[in-house]
Amino acid sequence: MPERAGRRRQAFTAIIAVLTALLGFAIVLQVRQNSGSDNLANLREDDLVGILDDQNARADRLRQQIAELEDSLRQLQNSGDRSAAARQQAIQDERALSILLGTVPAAGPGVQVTVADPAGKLGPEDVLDVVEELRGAGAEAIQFGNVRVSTDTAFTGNPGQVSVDGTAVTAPYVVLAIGDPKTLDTALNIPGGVADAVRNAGGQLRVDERASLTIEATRTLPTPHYASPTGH
Amino acid sequence: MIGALALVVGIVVGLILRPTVPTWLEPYLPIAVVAALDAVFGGVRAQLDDVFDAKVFVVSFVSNVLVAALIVYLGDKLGVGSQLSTAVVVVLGIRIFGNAAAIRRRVFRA
Amino acid sequence: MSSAGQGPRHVTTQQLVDLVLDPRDPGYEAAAARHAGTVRRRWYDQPLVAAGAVVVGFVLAVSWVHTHRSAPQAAKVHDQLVSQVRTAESTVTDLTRTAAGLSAELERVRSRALAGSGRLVRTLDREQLLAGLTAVHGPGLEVTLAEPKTSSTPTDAAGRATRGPTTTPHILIDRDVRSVVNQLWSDGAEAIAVNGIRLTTTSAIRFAGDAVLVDLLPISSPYRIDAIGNPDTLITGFAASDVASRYQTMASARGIGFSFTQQSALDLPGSANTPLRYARVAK
Repeated sequence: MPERAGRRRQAFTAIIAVLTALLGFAIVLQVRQNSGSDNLANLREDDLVGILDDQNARADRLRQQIAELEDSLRQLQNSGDRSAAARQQAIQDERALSILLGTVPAAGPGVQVTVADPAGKLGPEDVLDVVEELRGAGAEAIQFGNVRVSTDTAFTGNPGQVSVDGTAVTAPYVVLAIGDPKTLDTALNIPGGVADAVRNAGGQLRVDERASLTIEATRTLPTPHYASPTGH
Repeated sequence: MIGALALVVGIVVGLILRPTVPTWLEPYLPIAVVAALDAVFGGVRAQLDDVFDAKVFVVSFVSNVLVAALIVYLGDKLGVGSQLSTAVVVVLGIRIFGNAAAIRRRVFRA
Repeated sequence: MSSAGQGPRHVTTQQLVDLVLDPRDPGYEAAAARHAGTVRRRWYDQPLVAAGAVVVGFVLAVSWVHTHRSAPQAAKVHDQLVSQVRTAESTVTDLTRTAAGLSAELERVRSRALAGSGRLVRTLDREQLLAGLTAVHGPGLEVTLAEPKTSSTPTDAAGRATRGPTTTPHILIDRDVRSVVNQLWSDGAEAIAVNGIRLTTTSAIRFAGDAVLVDLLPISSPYRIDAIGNPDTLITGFAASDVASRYQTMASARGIGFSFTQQSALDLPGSANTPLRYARVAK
């Protein structure tokens, strides 16, 4: 009898231990769920759809990037003379980048955009609109007046007195852009887009498609003092 | 055990018929459910304690539902409907737990 | 609580406590007391119990049916969406990791193979950094623009936010983000990222439908613009700019969020390279 009681007590203790462990586990799980919860369940449907689109777009971008990287790697690894192949790739990259950054003159098909501002109402941000629209439509090289446009080009000033990267420019503004002429033209002339905005401010915008044009303006490559590559 | 059988019958009928609850009845549904559960647990416990009485069973269920519904209805009119509904559910819920505990004591310790 | 047959009772504290702690329905007690322990079977006992139990079962079933009918498609769709978003997010994380790994490996192979072309490599590195292709870190400025908080979001019975009658109108558009970016470049920024998307030579900030797109990727408020550069020059320049005063005014007039703070360590990701299709070097 006493053994029976002893064993029963052991059994109970064991059961209690298991239950407490489960309780602790459940508590941790719940806390983790509540704190780490990314709030997704509380978002509206619209927001969720938006986030989904966002993530899918990024995923596509990344897949493309991965394909290109694998391609480059394969090229290097399959080449007989790895040094030469790498050098070739590097030279090609460097050439492309110097066009994008504006350190060399560039040529190709594109558009010439003339923006007239008789009322002097167009300001730096309106002009920036034109450039941004061109960028968004795939322009690979842009020249604004006599200034080559690049990533860090800034438009400053006041309506009627616009400066590009510190250089004053006067209307009518002539913008050259290399890219697909049709796409660039269409982008500027979307109803309610840049062309309409310019016209509403009393200006005029004319787009001439060109099978080939040359962008002569160049800029010097700045030296970054504060930005340094991560992981170097 | 006729009670248990009848309970099952009622559940089956409800699942088969799948009646649509009219909108004006919706806020009272939770109370009806909790009152129903309370009646069931109270009845089972009374049965185990040998004090079950059919009349009390039915009358307590019906009156619980009616009184609770009245309270919630008044509350709705006065603007505290959902809070009173919560209160009713809480109180009846406590009773359910108490009865369940008593049943448990009865069943597992004979 | 029914108290069958007894006269008005004083509800004492003890009774209240009993009510809550050990709620044996006084009805049963009273009935039992009345019958003084003898079990009396009345003709209506069985049918009454049966009827009562049927009603109870019916009520429970109806409630079940009702709840599961009125948790309509919307809830299911919502849950599906949430799990889709979670899957998509984890896919993006995996892909990012893969891309970063490949990029690092390509870098390694290349630098080994280009051991003798120091100058080319150095120029390429600098160009890649300026073009926004390499991840960078450094001190700088962070500017935040946020849509004003809506006072309340409509919720459904389950307390989840549901689609309101109208979607929140946007006060901040692409132009606003662009203005800030433009100002930062003017103040000497060396690298800028908007909501974690690095700006490159070909990235544009535009508005499409309901969202601001940066480099063709949609983003949403709050808009976080990180710029690496001289923190002091950046903040002095930015604080004194027309852009800053415009948004300060908007913040007090229309409740948008606007702030800018110096940062000692910003990490900006690199962006993907876009191959040139139309431009070539002019000779």
